[in-house]
Amino acid sequence: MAKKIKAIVKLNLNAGKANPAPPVGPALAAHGINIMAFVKDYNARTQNRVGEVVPAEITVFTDGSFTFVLKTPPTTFLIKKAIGMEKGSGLASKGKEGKITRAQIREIAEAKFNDTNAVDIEGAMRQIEGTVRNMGVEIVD
Amino acid sequence: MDKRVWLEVSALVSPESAESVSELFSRYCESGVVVEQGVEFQGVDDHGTPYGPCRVCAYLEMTEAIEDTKRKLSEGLWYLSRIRSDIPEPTFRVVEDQNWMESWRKFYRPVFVGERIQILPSWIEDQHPDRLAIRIEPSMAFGTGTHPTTQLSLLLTEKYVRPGEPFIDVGSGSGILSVAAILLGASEALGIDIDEESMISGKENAQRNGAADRIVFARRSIPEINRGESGLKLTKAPVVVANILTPILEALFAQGMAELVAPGGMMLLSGILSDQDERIRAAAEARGLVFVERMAMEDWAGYAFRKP
Repeated sequence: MAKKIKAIVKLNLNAGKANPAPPVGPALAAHGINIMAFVKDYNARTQNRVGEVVPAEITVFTDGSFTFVLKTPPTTFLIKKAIGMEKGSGLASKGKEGKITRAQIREIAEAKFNDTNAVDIEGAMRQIEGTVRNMGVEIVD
Repeated sequence: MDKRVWLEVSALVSPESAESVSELFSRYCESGVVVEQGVEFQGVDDHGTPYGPCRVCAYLEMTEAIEDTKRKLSEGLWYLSRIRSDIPEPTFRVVEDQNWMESWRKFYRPVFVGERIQILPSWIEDQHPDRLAIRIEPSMAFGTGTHPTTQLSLLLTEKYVRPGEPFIDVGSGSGILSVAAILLGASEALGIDIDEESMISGKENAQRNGAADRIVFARRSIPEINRGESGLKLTKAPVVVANILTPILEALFAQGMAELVAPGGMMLLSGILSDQDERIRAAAEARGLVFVERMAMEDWAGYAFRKP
């Protein structure tokens, strides 16, 4: 059955640990989505990835039904993981928070490629490099 | 105990800025971040394309550190606005905790279809005993039952189901049409689908409506059934319904869907956009089916054909 889409809701959540408290509750209740059905399904599909931020992109249809797909973790999460950093400074001017190699950037670009609008890996790498700089992380060869 | 209170922080930004803002929020809101975007429709075939700005929001628990966190979030957005011009100041709103598990249910009401059917969410009391109640639990597979294709297929089922005779539902999905057929008096029903999730969902809905002993859900293909290799007792019925999309209906006709209809029986079709009329009529008539009637709702059509 073909259905019309009402909204796209992307939730960045901790794998295996979704629960009905905010942000899940208010985000989904506003669309009349069965919250427990989503929480159970999300946790089941992400239980092997605890410790990661795994976004769920939910497509809400006009009749209240929905589907969702899991996306790759946010770029910033992958950068922090690659260099073992807890938090980015958020301010490039504040000083360098760590170092990342071009090989690591390529790995992240390959992982994120399908979720970017880049036409090739080099383009995706340039997008990742922009985020790296915004986080105050230094790029080394 | 006092209710928990949350502070919602949100910002309306362009899709290009959404990830940067989302990352900023995630530093202070560990439970997660929401990015929401609307859709636009580019023609009748378009199911919806993401369009317009994104609303990024997250929730902070009200603790002693809340004012400090608010200041840091405002500062972070200000720094981002030096790089991206579309970044606004954040909006804060106090949100009282509530039973989120239940709050989504307030959107649901009984849905009346045709002259005899009502679709009733499982928690709502039946106040219309003159109508047959199809009990549903809204979930991923099934929403409110308000979609025109669901309504058209229910209307056709209500009109053509034959009490005391069997019924076949091709692409059974949530199983709602098989359940409706049983409630309307069909002796037994077969729901076939290629999706394993549909098998689970169909059985749950049959159980919920006290029809589990008269409906078989099977993951079988039409050629398997027509070759006698399905292992199913019911392989032909005087009423066969299929609520799928036109290209899939065409493919199913090519696979022999019309052979499931007993001579003199009815083939009911839904999931057809109004501008696909000629395609569906051509596909059905090429298999010897005779046009009986067309029903329309919004930009969707439902068809009844008879097998001579």
